[in-house]
Amino acid sequence: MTEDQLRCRLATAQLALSDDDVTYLATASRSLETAIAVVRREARDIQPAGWDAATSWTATRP
Amino acid sequence: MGRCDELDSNAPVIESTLARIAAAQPLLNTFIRVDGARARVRAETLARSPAETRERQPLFGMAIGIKDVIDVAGLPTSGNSRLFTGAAPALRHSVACARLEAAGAIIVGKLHCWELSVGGPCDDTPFPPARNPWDTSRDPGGSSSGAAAAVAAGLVPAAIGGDTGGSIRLPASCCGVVGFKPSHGRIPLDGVLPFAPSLDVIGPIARNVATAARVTSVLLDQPMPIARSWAGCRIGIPIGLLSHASPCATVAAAFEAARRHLEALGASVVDLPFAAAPLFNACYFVIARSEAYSRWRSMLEQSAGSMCRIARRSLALGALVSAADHVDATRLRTRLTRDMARLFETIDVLCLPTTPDIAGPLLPSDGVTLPDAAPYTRPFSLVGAPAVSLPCGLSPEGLPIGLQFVGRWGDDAAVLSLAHHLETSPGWAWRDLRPDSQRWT
Repeated sequence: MTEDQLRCRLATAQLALSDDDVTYLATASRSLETAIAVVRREARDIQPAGWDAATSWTATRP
Repeated sequence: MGRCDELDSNAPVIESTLARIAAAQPLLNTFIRVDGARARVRAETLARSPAETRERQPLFGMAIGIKDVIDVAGLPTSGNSRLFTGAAPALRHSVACARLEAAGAIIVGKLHCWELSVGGPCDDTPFPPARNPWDTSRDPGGSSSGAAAAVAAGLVPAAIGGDTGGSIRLPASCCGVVGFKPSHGRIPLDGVLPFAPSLDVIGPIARNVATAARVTSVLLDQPMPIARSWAGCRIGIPIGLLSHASPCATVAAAFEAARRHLEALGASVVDLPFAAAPLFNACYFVIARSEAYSRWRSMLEQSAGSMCRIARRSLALGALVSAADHVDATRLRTRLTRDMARLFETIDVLCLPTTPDIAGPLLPSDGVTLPDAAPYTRPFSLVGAPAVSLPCGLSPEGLPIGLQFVGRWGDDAAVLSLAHHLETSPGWAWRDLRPDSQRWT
């Protein structure tokens, strides 16, 4: 994500951060984007098993 | 259950505790607030209690410090954040502190932590960073930094920390003490500042496993038996996780020695592929960021400048996670949790290092960027599993190394009892480690 793209996203979220913060986040967001890509890819292959079972991770507890 | 070994049942003993804390504070910064008057009154009250009352109190007279994200009646909860500078004292105890006092503990004060359990170690928080008693130029780990450092320095026999992705286990590892993360959802979090509620737990940091188990029993309000036969137990090593983020040579050597020791005790130790390690960490990252942002969004919008730069930036990352991505991560989490439950059909406990490296410098060299200390702890936070860190060696520099046991959800007694079994076994040299107090006095 470029700094300009990041500034747009942060403005949409109504976050007013410093230039230093934005520069840092532009780098840090790469690892988040990687994590999101991994999650999206894996989640695509999960067959829906009903809303409750699919979204409540605590349902797996004994 | 017997009374604790660390009885602080009379005024002279609590005075010596408070004197140790005061002497160490200028260099170690372990406490944010010490309430000596409260501790003295409490010690006097306990000293006057009848013998039968004492016998029923498993923590009778034990001095305990509380991470400053957990409410103690009469003291402000600051989370080491300027957002809460001048906050009014908590009107009532958190559930955890009420249980501790009912069990006879003496709460001596609020312990240092990373800002809101998110941002640290950082030099722009209201209170300066806590220091590692083993080497005061080093970070004690976090976010329950003061809790681990205070116990390691012998200031208190036990402390209560919080753990979202490793915040009890990591500082315990860095400071050479025992840190236990109970199963998620078993200890009420009423009166605790949240980080990511579906991941947050609180638990004890102590000098040894027996004390950690005793405090856990009080927090859970249930017995925590740790005497169990471990002959023939099945211990799994998640090799995939260790290759996903390789430990340094020092940690790898200590872990191998611990593995051999467990085998010599009769355990069956097997390597497990654990190929999904990257998925666990990615899933954790998305959920933790979005939950933390959800909780602190209004503060971030209104008062970002009042947060330390690490907390501000860490929380802002959560604004970049969409709702759909959060739902995807939740669905993936469900699958990973089921996969983990199936794994525990073939083993009793997982065993791995707590963190890939030893304690790092006190502050990041660029003021912000930390090496990833939590790749071995986050996966088990994601699935809510109980996990304990205990010392398993010292580096050539004399810094502690941590070993982690992880159990199936709800079987907190299994990880604590195996840790106790190892810690008290013949030839195990890493119980009750103590740094040289001349380093900080």
